[in-house]
Amino acid sequence: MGNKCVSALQYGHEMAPLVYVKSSSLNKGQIEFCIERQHLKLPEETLPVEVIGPKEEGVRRRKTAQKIEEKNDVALPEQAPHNNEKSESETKAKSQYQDPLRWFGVLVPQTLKQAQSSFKEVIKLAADIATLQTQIEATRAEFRTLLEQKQNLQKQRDI
Amino acid sequence: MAGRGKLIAVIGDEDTCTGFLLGGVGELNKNRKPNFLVVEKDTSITEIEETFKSFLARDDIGIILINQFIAEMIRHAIDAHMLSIPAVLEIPSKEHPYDASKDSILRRAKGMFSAEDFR
Repeated sequence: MGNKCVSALQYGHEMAPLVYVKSSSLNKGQIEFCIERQHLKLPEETLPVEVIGPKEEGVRRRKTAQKIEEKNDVALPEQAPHNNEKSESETKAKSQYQDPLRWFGVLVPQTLKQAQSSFKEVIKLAADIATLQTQIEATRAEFRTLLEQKQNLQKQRDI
Repeated sequence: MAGRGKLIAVIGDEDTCTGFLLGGVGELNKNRKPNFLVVEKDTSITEIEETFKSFLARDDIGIILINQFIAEMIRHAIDAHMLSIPAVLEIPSKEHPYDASKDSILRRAKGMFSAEDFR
């Protein structure tokens, strides 16, 4: 372990897939696989900057600030908590789509970033290969049926 | 689930799994069941085979990537899989380069042209 080496023990405790594979069937039982990538949010959003210090500016004006808030609460008593819940669930959903690179620390080596981009490329290639593989299988099935037909015709001719 | 595509599962050594997880294929579902298996030295063949079969049975997996040297251990299970979804792809690993003559699909394809067929 350490900075230069990564291990399976460092995998995140929560994982949400960032890539999906869509399959669409072509003719003769061939299947085309294509990759869909979830877009990661910007790094600024992944790591919210912790605000240090007082949240309200001007402690001396605290009383008036509170009064304004109270007024707002009276005006919109039901909407306010609802909004809070929504934003919480949104942040929860967002936090699921974390860049896996973050499992291994904040400042990861450049090589690890290169590995990540290479593997992203590999995933696309894997989908292409899977498509080709189904084409081989489909062609093979077609060949088999045609061969059977041929043999049947030959038998009929012989009789 | 309906609108989304399927997942990519990985059975491989630590380097392979880490790479693909970095690429973003990893998932832990509600039961905390992963869509990948890190094969270590002490991982038993039955465990690999059972995981492979459980991936085949899952309907949310579209492609299974498996290191070829691991595929060799459970060759009979891979040969038995004839469906096109999930597609099983044999991939090389760091220590074991890819050998096309071992690949189940390519062996099947070569078998297409056996001498018997041309009688």
